[in-house]
Amino acid sequence: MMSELVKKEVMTALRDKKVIISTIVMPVIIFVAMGAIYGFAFSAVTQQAKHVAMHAQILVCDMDKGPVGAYVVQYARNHSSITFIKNQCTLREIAEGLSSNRYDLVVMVPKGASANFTSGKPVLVKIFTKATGISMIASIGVSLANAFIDGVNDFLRSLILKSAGLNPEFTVNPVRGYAMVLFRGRFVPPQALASLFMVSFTFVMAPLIVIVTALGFASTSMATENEEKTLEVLLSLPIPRVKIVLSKLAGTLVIAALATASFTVGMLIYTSMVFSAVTTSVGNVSSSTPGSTVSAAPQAFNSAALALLGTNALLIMVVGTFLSLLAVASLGLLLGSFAPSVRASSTFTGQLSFLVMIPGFLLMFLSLSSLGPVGIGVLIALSPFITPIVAMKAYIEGITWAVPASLGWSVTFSIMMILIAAKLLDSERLLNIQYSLLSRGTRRKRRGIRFRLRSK
Amino acid sequence: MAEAAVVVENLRKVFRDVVAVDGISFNVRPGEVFGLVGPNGAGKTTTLRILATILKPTEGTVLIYGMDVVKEKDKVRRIISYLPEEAGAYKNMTGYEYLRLMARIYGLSDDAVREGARLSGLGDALKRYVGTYSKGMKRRLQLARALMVKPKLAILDEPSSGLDVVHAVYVRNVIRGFVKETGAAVILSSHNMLEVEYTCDRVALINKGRIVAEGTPRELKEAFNASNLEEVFVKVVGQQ
Repeated sequence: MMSELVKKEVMTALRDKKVIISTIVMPVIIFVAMGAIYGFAFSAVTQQAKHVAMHAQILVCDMDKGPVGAYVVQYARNHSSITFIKNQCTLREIAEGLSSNRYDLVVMVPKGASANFTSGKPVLVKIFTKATGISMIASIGVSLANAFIDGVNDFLRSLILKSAGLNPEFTVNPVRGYAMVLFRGRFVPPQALASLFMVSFTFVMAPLIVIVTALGFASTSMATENEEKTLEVLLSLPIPRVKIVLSKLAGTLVIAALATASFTVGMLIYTSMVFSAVTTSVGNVSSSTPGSTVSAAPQAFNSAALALLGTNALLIMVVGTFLSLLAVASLGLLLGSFAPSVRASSTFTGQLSFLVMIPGFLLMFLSLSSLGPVGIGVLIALSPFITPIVAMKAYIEGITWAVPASLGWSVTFSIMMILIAAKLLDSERLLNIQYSLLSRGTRRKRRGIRFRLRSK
Repeated sequence: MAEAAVVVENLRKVFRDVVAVDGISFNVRPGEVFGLVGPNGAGKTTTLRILATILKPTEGTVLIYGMDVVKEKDKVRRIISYLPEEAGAYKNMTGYEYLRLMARIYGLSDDAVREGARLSGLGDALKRYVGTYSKGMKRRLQLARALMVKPKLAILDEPSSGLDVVHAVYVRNVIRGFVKETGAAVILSSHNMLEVEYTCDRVALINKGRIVAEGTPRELKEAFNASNLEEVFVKVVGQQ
């Protein structure tokens, strides 16, 4: 009997186009589209930067007429397609030149710059560029200006050091760092940790989004029984109430599992596309942009990063995700029982979703240990819906007691919700609560609705 | 004497400050179609919901084949079948799938499903999703669902409500045929006096939560010197 009810729940859900599209198909499409758009945008920006860097038209206003001015002109000639040189420039001329695209960059070397330079004082070089909008491409001139200044500095520093008989490379960076981070008893490079952060971000975000989806789905599943007038028949059938709740829970978990898989696949594709775009584009730009200080591109997450977590942590994450889904679906079913309509259930769960997600977002950036034992306890008690995040962090940070506490509370919470929902279904209290909600919402409009759930 | 299918004694149901059912008593025998007749708001649906174990009485007792609907509700649910007035079916299931689900819940085989298909008279339409059905088709499916499990008591709330003449006659014939074939009891509600007259063996006229007259349609018509139950009802209510 139970299996038939579960089959009914899964079958009706999977035949609902809205459910399939919104929870299974759309996540993949959205993430892939986002990845493609991000990749395209990033590639376009970097190509533009590369183009500007290679074909920049630079005006140098050399009011200094000394060695510094000459160095700046020399640097500009080496790193631009066309270099204009003037001895005097007004702001109006500069603005007109930039507006008419005659110049991409205007560098003003003030009078007395060389005197400052030789006496060891900093030289103030003004650089003018333009932004045609607020997009990344529109403000690319700012990056060019910064790169130009960095390049000139490197150039002059090198000259100074060479003239003093010093090796510029050694003098600037006399110590080369090679950082290693102790993580769970192993020394790993920082890049691996960055990659791991992305992995955990993905595996935390996907369940979090799915948990909210599951809350809505479970609630709607029960509210639909009310709205489509199937609940009254269901309640008159010889089925234990707890089996009704459990079958709906099982149906919700199947859909939630599919949604989790869809979100995870979508996010994996998204992050891979983003990393691929960043790696390719940064590689291109760093080889062509003058003075670029872009460091090595971040690593896309990979099996090595997952291996850092270890099998136990991954297992805890999977179990925690399942238990969180169980807890949130149980709560959703309970809320859905109260709702006289799907719309009412959406109102309940829509507001609750934010509360469910807040602790999850908090833990994306905070370590669990920073909360202290009481804080961790309160967090676990308040939110049995973020178990994968809490349990995984607790395991990684070595807060061993928090792992079973978090997992156990999710199970306890779920059982409580199931029993309350079953109890509620077995009494006419449910009809009375629905009646109260219904009449409260419409009392002002229709006094007569008071008797809607009552006898004819 | 055979055990009564339904014994209702001094049944009272109060919702906060509203008295929906006010001390009614009646019996239904096996093999009998009993009609609760009255206008909207008379207390028919509340009475049927109590019989179907969905609501609890405020006062009084309801026994179904000797079993108390409050204390032995699980046992009662196994021998009854309830058709609410606004019963819906799962729109993403076909008619066949819906009947099969209901049969399995009662632990019945595909024979029950075939019986349900026959009772519904929906033919090939049973292969379509319920969401595509007309109101009449949905009602026929629900009636088939309620009767195919061969309950000892079928509780039917406005079984032909909102149906056109053809569907309404079909539903009436199915109910009569079911009783004749199985010997089960049927209690139905309706505000359509004419329909009740054709379908029911005995009738209780209910108004404002109280039974105001009870008997066979013929007895009632004779007692009140009326040509049909509508006239009987108007006369009874007018006397109060």
